[in-house]
Amino acid sequence: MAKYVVTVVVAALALTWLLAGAAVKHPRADFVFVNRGTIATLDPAAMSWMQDIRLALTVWEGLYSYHPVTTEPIPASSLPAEISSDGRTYTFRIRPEARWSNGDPVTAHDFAYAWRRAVEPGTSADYAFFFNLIEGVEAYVAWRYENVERISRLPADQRIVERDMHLREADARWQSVGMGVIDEKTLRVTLKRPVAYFLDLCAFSTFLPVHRQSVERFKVVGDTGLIYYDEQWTKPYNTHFNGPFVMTEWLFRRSIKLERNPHYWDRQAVKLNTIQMLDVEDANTAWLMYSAGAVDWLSSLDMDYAPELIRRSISPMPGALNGASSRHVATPTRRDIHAFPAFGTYFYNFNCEPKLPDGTDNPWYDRRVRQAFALAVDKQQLVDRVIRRGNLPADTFIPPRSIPNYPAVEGLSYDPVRARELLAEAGWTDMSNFPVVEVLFNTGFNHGQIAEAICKMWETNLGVKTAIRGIEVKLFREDKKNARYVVCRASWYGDYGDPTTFLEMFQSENGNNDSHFRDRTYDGMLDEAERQPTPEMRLAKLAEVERYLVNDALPLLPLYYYVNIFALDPDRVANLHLTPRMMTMLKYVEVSP
Amino acid sequence: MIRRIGSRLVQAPLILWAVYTITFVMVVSVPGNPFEHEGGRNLSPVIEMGLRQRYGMEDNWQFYWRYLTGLLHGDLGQSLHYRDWTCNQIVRHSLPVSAALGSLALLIALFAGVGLGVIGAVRRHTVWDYLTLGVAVVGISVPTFVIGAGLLILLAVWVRLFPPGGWGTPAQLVLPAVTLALPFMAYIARLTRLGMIDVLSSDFLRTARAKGLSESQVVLKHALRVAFLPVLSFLGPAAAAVLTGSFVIEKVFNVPGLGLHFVNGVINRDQMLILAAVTVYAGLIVLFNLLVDIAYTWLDPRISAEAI
Repeated sequence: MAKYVVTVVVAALALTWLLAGAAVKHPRADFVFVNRGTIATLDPAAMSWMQDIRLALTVWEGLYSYHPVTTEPIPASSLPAEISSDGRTYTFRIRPEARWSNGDPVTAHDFAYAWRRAVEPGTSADYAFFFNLIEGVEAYVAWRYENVERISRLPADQRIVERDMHLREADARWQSVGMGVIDEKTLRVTLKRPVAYFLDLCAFSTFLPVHRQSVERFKVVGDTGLIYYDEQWTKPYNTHFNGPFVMTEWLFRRSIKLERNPHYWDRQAVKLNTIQMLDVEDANTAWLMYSAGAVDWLSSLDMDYAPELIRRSISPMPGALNGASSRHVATPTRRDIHAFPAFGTYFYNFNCEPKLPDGTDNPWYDRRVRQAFALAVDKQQLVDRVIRRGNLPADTFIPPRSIPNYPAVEGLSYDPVRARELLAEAGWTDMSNFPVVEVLFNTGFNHGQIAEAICKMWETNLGVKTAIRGIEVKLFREDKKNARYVVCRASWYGDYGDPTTFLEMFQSENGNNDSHFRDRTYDGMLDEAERQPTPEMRLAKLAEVERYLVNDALPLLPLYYYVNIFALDPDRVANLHLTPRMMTMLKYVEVSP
Repeated sequence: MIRRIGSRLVQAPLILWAVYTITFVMVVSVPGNPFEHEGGRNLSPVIEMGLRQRYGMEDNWQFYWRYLTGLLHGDLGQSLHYRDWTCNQIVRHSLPVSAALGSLALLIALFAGVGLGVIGAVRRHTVWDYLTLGVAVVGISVPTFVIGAGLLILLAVWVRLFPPGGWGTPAQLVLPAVTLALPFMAYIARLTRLGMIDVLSSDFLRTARAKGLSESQVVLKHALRVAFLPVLSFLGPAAAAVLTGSFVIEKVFNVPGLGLHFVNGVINRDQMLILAAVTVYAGLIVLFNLLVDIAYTWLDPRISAEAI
């Protein structure tokens, strides 16, 4: 018996050892960081998560890239673009020295190929709509989807013939969209209308190039004309990169290793040799790893005790909210926690349909009622007592000073007396008949506490009855999208440095207009802004649009602006900046031993 | 015995098919869109149409048969959330991790649990008995995320004996394995103690003592063999549970195992990954139960006699 036991134990331990991959010992990378979540995909055409975009911008490089401090677009793979006088035609000349990690030159074809790939049915995703700004793309994509659907309804034996005919026609039609390869190194893009932020988009992940020859090997043409790619193309050594780093190892949900790209044109600017990105599911564990010195940079701090950490730290970094002048700092004992404004806003949507989901008349259909509810919320109390992460209360939709040259806008601040007056004007003198105000939110984070605090304010200030309903996030999304709510929690992060990234959300036909807010005045004002002759006048007009949105129309109730929180030792890690849009360019980061 | 194992082998595919079908029905009837994600933009209907076509999920019948056919060829499908990974790759990456951690935890649980149980039974109503009872109560009642976080703070951050989570070195294996083992160890200790107390007063042990065997031989060789049977039947499902990972342990110690995928698969409505994880888990349970059946006959001759 004893012999058996010993044999079993030894065998089991040996097996455990082997399975755990014990023998391998890795040296620590120059720079180790925890990304804010697991990578969902590294296909630039399909990605939409912050963590994916951050990594993509480290291994690929667009025509333009982001300035590490200001996030403004700066020429990258392309020389400075030539823009026609009507602002519609952009000519990009690819840098002669720009190369892929295998030494191939980066060409205009690589961009044209990647951009077409990004809009094709089968690959296209959340952000494909950006390409609709290019002349002819929207019509082409709609036509493609129509035909894919048509062919999918045909009997199987007729599909292939139809498909091949359709795809030949697709190639021909693509020639007429406003994107042309003039020669190997020149790309010309013609837009539908002048787009003030087009260069900003050229730096975004959806506009990154891919290495055509290596990606093409993974192409699959479905029998309905759908073109997609075996996702394995994104794995290390299956493709090549043109950014400052190349990916050399990707262990699922464990880590990604990056090494300096020897062929990168601006390699002198790159300071790190190796980067390791760790995938840590639990915020608390990530914090413990950082505390134990295993990690150099935590790109988000989501633990319950984050407010306490902020309170105990003074950040020396420019742009931090918990700097020396902050009133949130109590007993500063550390200087490595940095809270700073994000390019996003937390708000509530009012249902703007004439009827509520239960079929009764919707009091919030009247904008005076929406204004009253907005005036009855003390947002300063909310950020100080409930959220406690140094956030600023929000009276507007767009975070102030987040967009260069965009004028300051003021919204409605706390005024319960005016709120009651407005309700009376709207005919609500007796609140006993007012429907129960139910706040819908997804469970998790502190959404529930926020809802409770706001309901309490409405009860006290307006005399209404309230209820809160927290549901699981996927169910929440369905209810929110279909306006099955009275008031619901929402948030928005901007995608590019222009006010329209926020304001377009409330256009009548926008797919993300979950308030179901339909206002011709608002749509007209936005159109008018695009017809302004100078960028300054355009921004002034857009500020007017926002003023109208947050003072009069109010399909939303802005609550607070988001903050990001980084943990990093500012004396050790240099050139990693607190940028609201979080386009952290790892290219410039330096670490002193 | 052969017949018993034979019938189990016939049942296995039927059980797996039933598990697959029930899971499939649940997966497709839960509301929520697998292609949309928290905080992202609303997906346009045409893009969703393209994606559904690409993954063969246009209607549920097509999806059901396509996935089932894939399963028969060993293809677990494509994850809809981790889009660059197939479910086969995910299982191949995470099952060995869970298996390594689980087998070590199971060993710890088994030896420590049986040891504590025997001590408790032999030294009944002494300090030793109460001490082992105490360990068992703590192991069963304190949640693993408390023990795990406690061990991490104590042994990884304050006294830097072990690395703070992660995977790849033997040192990273110790804390999660101990934490994972604790509740199982506690349960095994209680099972062994009860079984032992029962057996210690039985006739055949009196005979063994009468024939002059030492007490340790009586306890370890004769009594334990019988008292171990309830533990053995617990080991089958316990092994399947432990080897396929634990959500809490994996989260706290940042271990890239399979357990997280059960939970995250459901949260993300990653329909393919849920089907893959459940099918793999069901397959392992069927397998381990079969192994327990075989081990039973080896330990207790009466079983095979009854079966024939």
